Amino acid sequence: MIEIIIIVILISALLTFYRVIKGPTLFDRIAAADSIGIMFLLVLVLLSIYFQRQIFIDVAIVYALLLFVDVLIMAKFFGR
Amino acid sequence: MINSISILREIIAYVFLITGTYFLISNAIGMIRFPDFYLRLHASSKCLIAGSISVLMGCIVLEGISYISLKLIIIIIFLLITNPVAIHAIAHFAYNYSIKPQKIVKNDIKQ
Repeated sequence: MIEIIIIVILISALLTFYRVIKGPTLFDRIAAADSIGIMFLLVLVLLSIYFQRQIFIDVAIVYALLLFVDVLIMAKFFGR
Repeated sequence: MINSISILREIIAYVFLITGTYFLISNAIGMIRFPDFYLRLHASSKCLIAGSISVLMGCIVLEGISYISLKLIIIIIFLLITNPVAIHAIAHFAYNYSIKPQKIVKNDIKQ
């Protein structure tokens, strides 16, 4: 059951990747990359539940922190 | 008795997980189908935070009380704080980059 949910979240990340490739403006690409990052964070947590490995959740915490800093710096650098 | 309690816990967890995946799919369809940048940002912020918190709540119910659920609660609080801040920053810098919404009737920000 968890495998099906992981596959559905990956399909949804693949649909969001369309907006990264064909965004009219640059901020569309930044927002879509933020969505894809949070979806992969959820996939990481579900893989940790599926394989019974506790170390993946620590990786997920650091990944969420780096994603926030990443989006802020990209928006401030490319914007005005 | 213990078996029925564990079955009930799995049912509640899978209800949370399926609700979260529904919100994530609606996020992806909204990112593809909406015509404007600000509408896409609207779909991205609300559906993404609802879906991620629902999936993490399902993982907490599936796991029980342990260190793993404490770390998952930390991730939920962190996402609740940081995701609106990031979306607001993107919208602020995009407005200053002179990306205006389509079919705008009255602009309240412009003096």
